Amino acid sequence: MMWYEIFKFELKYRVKRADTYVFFVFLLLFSIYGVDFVFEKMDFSLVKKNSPLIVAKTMGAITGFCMIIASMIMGVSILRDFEYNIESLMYSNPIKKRDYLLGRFLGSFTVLLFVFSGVFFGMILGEYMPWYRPDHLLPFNLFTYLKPFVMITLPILFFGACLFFITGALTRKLMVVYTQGIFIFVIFMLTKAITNDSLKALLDPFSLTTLTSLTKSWTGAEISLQPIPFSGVLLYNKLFWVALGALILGFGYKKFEFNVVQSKRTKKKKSQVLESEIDHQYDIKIPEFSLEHGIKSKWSQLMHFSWFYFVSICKQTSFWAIVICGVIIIFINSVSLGTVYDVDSYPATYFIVEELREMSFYFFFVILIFYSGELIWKERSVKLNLIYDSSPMSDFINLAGKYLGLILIYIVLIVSLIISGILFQTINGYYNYNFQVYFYAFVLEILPFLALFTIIAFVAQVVVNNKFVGIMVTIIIFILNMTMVILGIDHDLYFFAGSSIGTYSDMNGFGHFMKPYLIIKAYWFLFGILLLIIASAISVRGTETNLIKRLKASKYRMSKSVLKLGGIAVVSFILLGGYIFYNTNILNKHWTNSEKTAFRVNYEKTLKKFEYLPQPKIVAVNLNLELYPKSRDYIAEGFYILKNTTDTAIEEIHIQKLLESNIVLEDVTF
Amino acid sequence: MELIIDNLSKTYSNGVKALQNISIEIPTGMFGLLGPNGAGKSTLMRTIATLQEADQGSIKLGDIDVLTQKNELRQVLGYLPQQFGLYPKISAEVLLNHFAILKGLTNKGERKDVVNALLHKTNLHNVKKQNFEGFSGGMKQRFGIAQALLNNPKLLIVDEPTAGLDPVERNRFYNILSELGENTVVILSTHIVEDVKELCTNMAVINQGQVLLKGNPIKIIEDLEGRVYQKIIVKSELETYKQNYQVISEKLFLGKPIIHILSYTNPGSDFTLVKADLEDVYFSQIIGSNTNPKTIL
Repeated sequence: MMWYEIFKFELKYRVKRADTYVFFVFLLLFSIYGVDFVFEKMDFSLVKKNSPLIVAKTMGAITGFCMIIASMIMGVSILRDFEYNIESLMYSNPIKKRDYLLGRFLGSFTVLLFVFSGVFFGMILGEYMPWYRPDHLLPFNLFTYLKPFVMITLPILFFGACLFFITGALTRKLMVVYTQGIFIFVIFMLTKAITNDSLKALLDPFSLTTLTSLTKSWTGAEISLQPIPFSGVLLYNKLFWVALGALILGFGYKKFEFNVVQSKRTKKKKSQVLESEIDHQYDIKIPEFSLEHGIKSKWSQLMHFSWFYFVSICKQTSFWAIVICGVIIIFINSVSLGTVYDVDSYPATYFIVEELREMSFYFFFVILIFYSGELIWKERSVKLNLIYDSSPMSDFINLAGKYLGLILIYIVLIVSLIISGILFQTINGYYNYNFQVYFYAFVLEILPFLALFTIIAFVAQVVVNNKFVGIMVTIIIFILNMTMVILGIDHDLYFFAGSSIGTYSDMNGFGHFMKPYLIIKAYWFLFGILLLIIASAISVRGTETNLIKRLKASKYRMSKSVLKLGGIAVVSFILLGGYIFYNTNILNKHWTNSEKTAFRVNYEKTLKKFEYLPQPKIVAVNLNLELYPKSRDYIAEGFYILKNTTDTAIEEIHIQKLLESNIVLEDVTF
Repeated sequence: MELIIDNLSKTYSNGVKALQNISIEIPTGMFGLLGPNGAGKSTLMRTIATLQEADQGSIKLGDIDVLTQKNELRQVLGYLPQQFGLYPKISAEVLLNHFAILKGLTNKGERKDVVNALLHKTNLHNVKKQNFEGFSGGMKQRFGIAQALLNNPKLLIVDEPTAGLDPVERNRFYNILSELGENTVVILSTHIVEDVKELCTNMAVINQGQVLLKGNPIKIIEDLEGRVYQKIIVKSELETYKQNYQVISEKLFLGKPIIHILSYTNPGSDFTLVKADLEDVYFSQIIGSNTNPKTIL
């Protein structure tokens, strides 16, 4: 029973690792919030929050979103033998390939089930959360959760497990393990583009459309009560994906070579560099040179680092795979593009940009969280860090170089997306490209957002000092930030990265929203610079990894010029913050979301009694309206003609005096 | 310039006392740091190379306080760690250029010349366009020394540089080291006595985090002169000899054990007086400091 020994070893190994529990807790917390996340705008008075269909769909969606976790668990199972260079020890043992692969697969799959049981428990817990209204809930029923977990989550997990396990084992590249979650997402998007409804339902890996199609004819009451039957299209859908998974597993089993050096393809590449004969210039004298450590030298170092890290990511196939997927998805999704209210419109840049933004977010986000981890760990992953760390480079310049390198990577993706958008327009015979709109959407909106969150990812990686946990922490911070908006904590002064710019209008662009938007972004970038400086001062340099010791040592690490930069950033941050506060809270009144709602509720309550009071109707308007677009003011002067259209005499006329705090009603006469 | 290590101590969080009150003065020239595996050599080297904090004590290179003025030291430091890897998909030339910029060689023309000269010197010029994934251990090690020399260091630290090199590689490596000017402090850590014997004008032996001996190798050997005896014995008698004499080393010669013992008087019984060498010094010190000598031998 050799495979059983390997299976047990795999379990023991994973039980000791922190990331197993981090993943579990992440899924648990995410799932508690799952129904609200997936059905954000749904009205739950008719279809209950814990009705079988809602639960099943939520499970499917969460599993889909978190496929990347499955990839991180299954993909490294074989790969880590190569990562830690123990493959020679492993493979020279008298283990059979079958036992090795089977043991590892089952072991990792068991761990995967444990981790994803977080979805099951999390959703059950979610039912008891205080923000759920009892009239939105059915009585608790364990089977409502157990059934979809077995029917929907398990089969697709099995498929994912097979695929990720095999790709990890065959490619032996960590970055492939990261990015393959994206491919499942692309498959999902591909199935959405299928026009044939039953085929679409059959192929959807996360069974969302399958469930919709299955329950198409159900009434609201049925949806609330009836359990999801495991038959018909759902059964075939699951059978299809499980069979495909098994097929991949079988294929991988055949392909996997139980030896250290892979044959054919890689062998050619890895040909040994042959030792040349003795160099005749062996005795060459090293020429005179000077070393520079001034600002000018730091600047050219920064430029060089940015380019160096940028090129290092560009050399990775996985990055280009993401770019290509991003571009393809636009073309797939654009089939129904611009079809608003069932009317086809031109592929105007405005539409294309909306589409690109929505679709590309996932790709940008994947690049952000994984490549920031990759860059922070770049030297350590090949054990070059000791040489690196003993060189006189500035901590800040090094980190900033990695940062700018990643920003360049975003720009590559942005340019590819814009090109694909333009290509799409051209193919459809639309030549009014309107580059400005592309520029605004990507360079003014998406890029600053990414740039700010990249800083968060960098800080998380530096502080946590564990690549996987750092990735998780980044995601959690990101979700927390989104939750802040929902909870009404959205003042631009403390809502990280500030709010978005608003909607572009073909008439006046972003109008007067542009200036405050840019000021708020500048404010957050100053904060970002501070964060980067702090991160660079506490980043791991040398062998000390303990955070407290790193914090203590940081005081010796900031050079004078970095301190100066930090000082300037602090002062400008405070000044700009003050300016923003003056504008939002003193010149204007700031309303939080909850205050807004409270105000509306209050005003409805006070004025409700006047609702049916007979009032005269305005039958004619004669106004002299003067508009001042520069200062965004207007002055209106004139008269309305009011007429009593009711049968009774009107005793009182009500006028709303305070339309808004910044509108003044100077004079009213009758 | 002189490197002065004063009363340096380091205890790891797991309780291992890696360094205990180490004090050494290291003048310019080659300095050998000798000790068995796990003696604390790498910890000491890393601490000098600004990569690790010490619990107490100080290290000074000229005016530079190594423990607090890390970046000042790094500007004059060359360091070759015991183990290191290289980006597989980058060529030797590109990476050496990258390191040159890291070290402050930001003038493009000068940098190109220096990188080229070092590639010649380390015999990597012919393969400079090739990626590291095909490099042999020796080639990687030579690249390591090339990067350590980039900034014309005042302090060069090489940690077990010859581990895994074949004899030809090792000689090439030493040739480069020995060419370094008189005004560089070169610290070579090793567990191979030969290395120190061939190269170093000064040395120290450390074990279990403590300095056992320091000084000039020739003088140290002289101190032992006339006290080292050798005998070819039968394997079964080894234990008896160990109980009766101070056995400092046991080696095999044509399959039979040869022991070296330390004695102020002639032990007689077929022992022959031999010329002491550095290895005897080393083993006599290590055995003196270890409670259980067998584990070391």
